[in-house]
Amino acid sequence: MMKSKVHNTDLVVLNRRFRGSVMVGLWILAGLICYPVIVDAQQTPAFSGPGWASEEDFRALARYEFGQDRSALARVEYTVNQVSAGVSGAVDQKTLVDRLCAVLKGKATPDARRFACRMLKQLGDPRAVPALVFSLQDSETANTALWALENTPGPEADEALVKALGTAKDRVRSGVINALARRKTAASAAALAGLLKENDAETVRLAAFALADLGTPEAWNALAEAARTAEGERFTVLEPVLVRVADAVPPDGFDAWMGLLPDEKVSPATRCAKLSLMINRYPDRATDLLEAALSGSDDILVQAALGLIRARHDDAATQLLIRVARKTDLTRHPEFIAALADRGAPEAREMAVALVDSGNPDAAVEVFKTLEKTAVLEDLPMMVRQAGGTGPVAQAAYEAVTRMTLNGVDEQLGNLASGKDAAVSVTALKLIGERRSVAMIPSVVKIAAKADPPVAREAIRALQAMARAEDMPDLLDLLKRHAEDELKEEVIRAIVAVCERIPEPALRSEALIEALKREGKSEKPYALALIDALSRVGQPEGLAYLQNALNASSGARKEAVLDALASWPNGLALDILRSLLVEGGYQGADRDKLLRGYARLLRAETGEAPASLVARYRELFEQVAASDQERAMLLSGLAQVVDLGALDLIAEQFENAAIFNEAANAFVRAAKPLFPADPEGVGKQLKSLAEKNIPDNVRNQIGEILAIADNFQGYICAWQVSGPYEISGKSADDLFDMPFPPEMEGVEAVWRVAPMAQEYSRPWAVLLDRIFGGADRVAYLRTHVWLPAAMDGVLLLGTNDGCKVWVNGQLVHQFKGGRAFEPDQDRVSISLREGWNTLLIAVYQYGGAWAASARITAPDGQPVPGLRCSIRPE
Amino acid sequence: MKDKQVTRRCFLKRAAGAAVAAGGFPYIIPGRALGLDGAVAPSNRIVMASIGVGGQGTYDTMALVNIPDVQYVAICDVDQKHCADAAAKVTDFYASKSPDGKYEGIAQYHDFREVLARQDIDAVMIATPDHWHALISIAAARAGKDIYCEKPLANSIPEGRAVVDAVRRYGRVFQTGSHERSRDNSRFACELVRNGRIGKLHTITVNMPIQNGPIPNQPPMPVPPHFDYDFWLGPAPDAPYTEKRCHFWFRYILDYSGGEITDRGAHIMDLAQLGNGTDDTTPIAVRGSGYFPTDGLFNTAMDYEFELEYANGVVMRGVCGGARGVRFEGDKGWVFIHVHEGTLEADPPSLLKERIGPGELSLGRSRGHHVNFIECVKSRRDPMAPVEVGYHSATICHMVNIAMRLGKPLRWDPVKEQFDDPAANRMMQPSMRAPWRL
Repeated sequence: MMKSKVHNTDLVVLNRRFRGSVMVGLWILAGLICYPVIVDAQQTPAFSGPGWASEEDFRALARYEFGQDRSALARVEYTVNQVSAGVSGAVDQKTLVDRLCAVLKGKATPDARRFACRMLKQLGDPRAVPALVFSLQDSETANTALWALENTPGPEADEALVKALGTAKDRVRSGVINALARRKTAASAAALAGLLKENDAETVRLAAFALADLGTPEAWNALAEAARTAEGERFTVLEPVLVRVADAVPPDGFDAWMGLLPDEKVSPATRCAKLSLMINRYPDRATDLLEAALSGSDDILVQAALGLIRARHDDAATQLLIRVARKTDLTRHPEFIAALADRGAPEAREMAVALVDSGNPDAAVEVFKTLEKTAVLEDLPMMVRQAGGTGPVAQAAYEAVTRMTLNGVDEQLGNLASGKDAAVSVTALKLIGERRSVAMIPSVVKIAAKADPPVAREAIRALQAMARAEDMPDLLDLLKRHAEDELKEEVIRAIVAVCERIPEPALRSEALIEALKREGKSEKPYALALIDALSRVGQPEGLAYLQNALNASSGARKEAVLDALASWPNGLALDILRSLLVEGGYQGADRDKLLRGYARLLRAETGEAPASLVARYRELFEQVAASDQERAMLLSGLAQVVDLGALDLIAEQFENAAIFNEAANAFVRAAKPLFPADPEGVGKQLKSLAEKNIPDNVRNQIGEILAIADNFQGYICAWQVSGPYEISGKSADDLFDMPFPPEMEGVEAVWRVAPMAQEYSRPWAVLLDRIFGGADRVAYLRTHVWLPAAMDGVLLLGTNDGCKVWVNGQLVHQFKGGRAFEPDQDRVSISLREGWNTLLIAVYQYGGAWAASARITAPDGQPVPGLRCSIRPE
Repeated sequence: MKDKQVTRRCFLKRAAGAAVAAGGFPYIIPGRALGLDGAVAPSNRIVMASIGVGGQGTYDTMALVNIPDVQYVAICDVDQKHCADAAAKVTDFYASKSPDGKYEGIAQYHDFREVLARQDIDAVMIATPDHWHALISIAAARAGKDIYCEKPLANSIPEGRAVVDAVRRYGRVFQTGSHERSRDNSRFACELVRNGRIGKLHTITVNMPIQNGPIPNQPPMPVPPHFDYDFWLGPAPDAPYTEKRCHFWFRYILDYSGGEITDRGAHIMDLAQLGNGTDDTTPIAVRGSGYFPTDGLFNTAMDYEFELEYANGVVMRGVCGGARGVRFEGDKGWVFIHVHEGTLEADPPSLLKERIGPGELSLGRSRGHHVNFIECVKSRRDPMAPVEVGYHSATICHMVNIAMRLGKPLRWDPVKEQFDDPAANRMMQPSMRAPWRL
């Protein structure tokens, strides 16, 4: 009943939070829900595993030797895990145990028998005990048989192990001792006690630990007796055992037990353990015990006491620390100050301040950690001075002031910032910015306006960190004041930072545009700086304003607008820059800056389709580029466009000898992600290039690209991808039932080449999460498959998450739901015609990983002779 | 297989031999015995040794060696070649600082117990394969050493609990190697979440690494003469030696590790815990499914998806692939930490320009994960990733693996540290090859 309740709870969580579950297969497996899976008969559930073991698998197991095919073992292990988890399947537990025991008792290989023992460990079935006892006799299997026995409940295993204790030798006997300990087999106490008298240290150690684990009075008495008489190495062996069992000893026997561990006889580490045991047992004596330890000369005990005191949050512990710290040379033991610092004890301030100039950097660091919580305002000048330095002490001081919650800190920092010591002012301003002390903005604005440049610069930086939209008028005033000096750049950055903090994007440029309007057609430095700032904000309102301003400007103002457009930070300006370049009639330096700006944006992540980017580049090559230097620059960007058209355009530049090497380099860079999509076509182009006089590095790269094909392993690597398609508010489950352009007749979809070989071990997997990312969306994969003759074949498909598959426009397979990616997890029968066929796969993304792979084989699993795939059918 | 049992007895004999063999190195008085008097004189440094010096172990070692407050004295590895290589690097470092360009102070050990027996060593760095983390950490705590141990904290949940208990019982400072916690950006992002800047947190998505492989079945091979394979196996089951079982590749085999989930995934889960404010606990339910290779040497999950539910109502979804990292989603926005890169994304983007003000929850900052450990060894504070933090993060990883292997949803009691399912509890229990035991 409990199980059922748990599952229902989980299901609610699942449905509420994750819309479509990524674990649908598990629920199906558990038979707990009736999920609307729309699959064909060949559909496998998510991570179906290797399948249940057959009788033949057990025969194969018996023959197994390391290094051979272990797929039969994988099925046996899967079966064992399923049966032990209570899943009904092809075999029941008794049959499974019988088959594994048969492996142990038959003529199976040692590797097989060890494996069988491990499986019996997981099953924990008493029926296996005789076979396991049999396996204990064999040194090849004894260790793993012991594992199974120690994990098998019931008296049979206990009896077998107690009996084995008397007969086993060496390592097997050690294993028997350990197994009895794990099982807490009380009947073994006397035999284990006897082992304490042996001379082998390892046997004594294991027997002692086993007795400790038994936890019976008889076992403890045996341990105590052994400890009382043990000396030297024998006692050393018993120390950790006595420590381990101490917590479990009855209260009235605790002191006597501690008496077995006299300070003068035990190791320093055991003295530490004793301290923690004593405090656990006698919490009311904790303060005395800790004080004694902290005041003593045993350094490791002091360490342990400090560790223990950190876990105590009572005032008595704090007072204890203060008492001890006052008697301690804190310069040599800053760890006391550290402990006080963490507690925020006000009394620690005085001690900390006295240590500022101790010369011990560890102590100084702790001083400031202390002062973060305990300082008073009069400490602040000293702290700010220290924070202005370098190194760990300065960093600690800086962090301390940044984190201080004391009332008045910001005002005091403001006073320091306004003082005459420039170094202190600079540090104070940094701290004001770091603390986001918005109440100090008016003061900081004044400093930014009037102070000497080093201080004013820091004031402006503080404003950059904390100023708000309502502070924009002050910032614009500052820009006006500094528009012609070295601080202009700092003020522009502060203005842009404030604009970017405005939540609504459409309002981010507003203040700057208004300011520009007020300036009219001014060519003054302030107006030009406003234009610069407006471009850096990068919003469409600003772009539209500048576009209009360009036509109405001249002289320096026009130059400033052109600069602003050429340095625009995002793809919004692509079309404007193109238009100015191609149709604007600009020449000389203006044309150069526009071209460079346009080329820069073409290389940026603008989301533009690759084919469209190629068209832009073609236009540049054919209508704009005026020198080989410019063409070489364009080639560098073009090489990043993953599109076969880019390859063709680059290849056209081979004719220009002046940029041949640049074109060859660009070609191989562009060819690498495209080669899997069209191995024949791209391969032919690469081989053709290799016949030319090309640099060695280019030739080597060509060789590497052509070798990629060796790793395709029969999988389809020629894919185009379209998407991602998503609808706000719709889950992947919702999208599954909605058509998108690639599957709609008469609707044109935008396709791009799917980059392959993104992962070394699986170059044939389409990793959509790396291409698109995101969740609750679908992408389509398309390829064209050529066959010399019609045939029936098998499509082996793996997808994360759901999928739909069409062959020549006919839906042949679908899986709805989330699942992890497993190559070949779906097996779909398909009919293909002679010549070109179209394979279309929709891959649904529920969240996280998003991937697919596919290959086509003959019905018998063999490769199909003559089959080839391409994204561009002939 | 040769049964090369390493007993305490032979350990004691060997320890004596080692001391003789290492007679040339200077005996360093432990830093803790002297107190710190300002300058970092050699005798006042934290005296350290490394146990397990493959790729990560050597990286950790050099990161620690470079801290002025640290003095290294010993390197330990069951692969003599690794041991010698790492010792040479440390020796070269110190030699470069020495007036005569020479240094002979690094002892090499085969058996970690010999290192722990040295009274002059204050702290150890442990970067063995995962199946050794717990045993060595516990032994180190019992020997009174402070510990920097690579993640995951342990190879099973009970082993992790035993580490926590030992570290606290013996009063040791323990830093889990979850170094992503020491990035300023990660901590800032978690502060945004914890201070409500994204509204009420409801979902955490962790984008986990996709595992390498699978690789074909590997043939049995002769054990290299410089490698003590039986000691390397230690508590793990008997298995024929093959090169790709050991060293870097161990992480893809369930006997020694938990695959990418416990490996790089542990970093991601760890930040999810920090941002969720659940460092002191674990989720209450888990379900997952994964693709476990059915052939070849590796058998940890290659591709997987999972969900964890916390008592505070937050749900963590884990998936393979995508930009690696953790995304915290609240009702007013989200923030994403790119794990291993340390960069952040957020919606609204302006979140990333905010500051955590005085009086708000601050998670503190670290001057580097290794530096933070050394600082805490001196101050006796808990470091950025103390033992409980490492334990809970590793526990979540193990919970996911168990749920995926059993293929069923499970409930988990964070207090009792038990599943509601006997099969899951059986699978959770580590089995150790004798003589090793928790």
